[in-house]
Amino acid sequence: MSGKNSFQRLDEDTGGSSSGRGAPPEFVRENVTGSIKFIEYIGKIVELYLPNLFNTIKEITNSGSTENHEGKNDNVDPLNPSDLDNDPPGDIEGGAKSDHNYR
Amino acid sequence: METPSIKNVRKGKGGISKKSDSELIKRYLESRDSAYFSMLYNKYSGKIYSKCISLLKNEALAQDATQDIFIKIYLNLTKFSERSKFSTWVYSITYNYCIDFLRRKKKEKNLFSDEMENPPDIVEDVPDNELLEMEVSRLKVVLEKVPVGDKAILLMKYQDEMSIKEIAAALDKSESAIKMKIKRAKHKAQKIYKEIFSNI
Repeated sequence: MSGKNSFQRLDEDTGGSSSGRGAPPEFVRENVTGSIKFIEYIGKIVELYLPNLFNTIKEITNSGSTENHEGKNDNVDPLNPSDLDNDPPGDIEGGAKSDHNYR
Repeated sequence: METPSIKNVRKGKGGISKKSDSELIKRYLESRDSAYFSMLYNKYSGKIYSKCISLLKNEALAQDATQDIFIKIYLNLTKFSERSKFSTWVYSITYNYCIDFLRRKKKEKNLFSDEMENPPDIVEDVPDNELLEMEVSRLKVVLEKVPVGDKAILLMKYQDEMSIKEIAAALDKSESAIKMKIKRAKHKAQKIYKEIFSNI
């Protein structure tokens, strides 16, 4: 007795498949390996371009916000702390403020 | 760091075949060397395919499903938290995929016994032993006859030894709902067994 119950012996009984229709054909494995390569490729594209995409969206959001911000940010002096308080909405990272703190 | 070639992984060289799932995942995530993922694939593809063909009852669909499931695993590997065993996580994805597929395609009208129009109100509790000690060839016949959702839930509980909590999480149901589904699935299996084999 293997210590396995009937459910766990279903696979043993049929050589790896509870349906008795064998293991996955080799070509599925090859296809999956191919898919892995493909999604790795897609993954690389996402890795490369997604941050840029976010930045672009952020820039668009920021520039859009600036335009609708009564023009206050059109002439922001990055060296003037009072101007930096008027960060446009959407600047989640607060990069300008970080610069300010750094100084 | 050990970076085995795919060829060696397939042949089980370099001792990496003995590495645990979590170690393979860790190494894969660190190195992004697909050889480590191939190792996980080699270990689980047969089991996943077996479950898929058992639930979908079609080789081509099972092949596609196996591939899709591995893509899901690949894309979500960073989200695997090791709160459960990797095998449990993988099987949860597999069962969910197959159940979703069958629901979407409406290939099965009633996936679970308790989704039938007039399920019996009171279900007597069937002792686990009646199923666990059933002759394998008979169990196979019974499992082909029960609704596919019942089959999935019985496999989760008794083949993969998933806890009620894990099954509930996998199927996004409450634990009490899962207990009831298991109870009804066992009852259904016992009923089918009696119908087919009582006169033999």
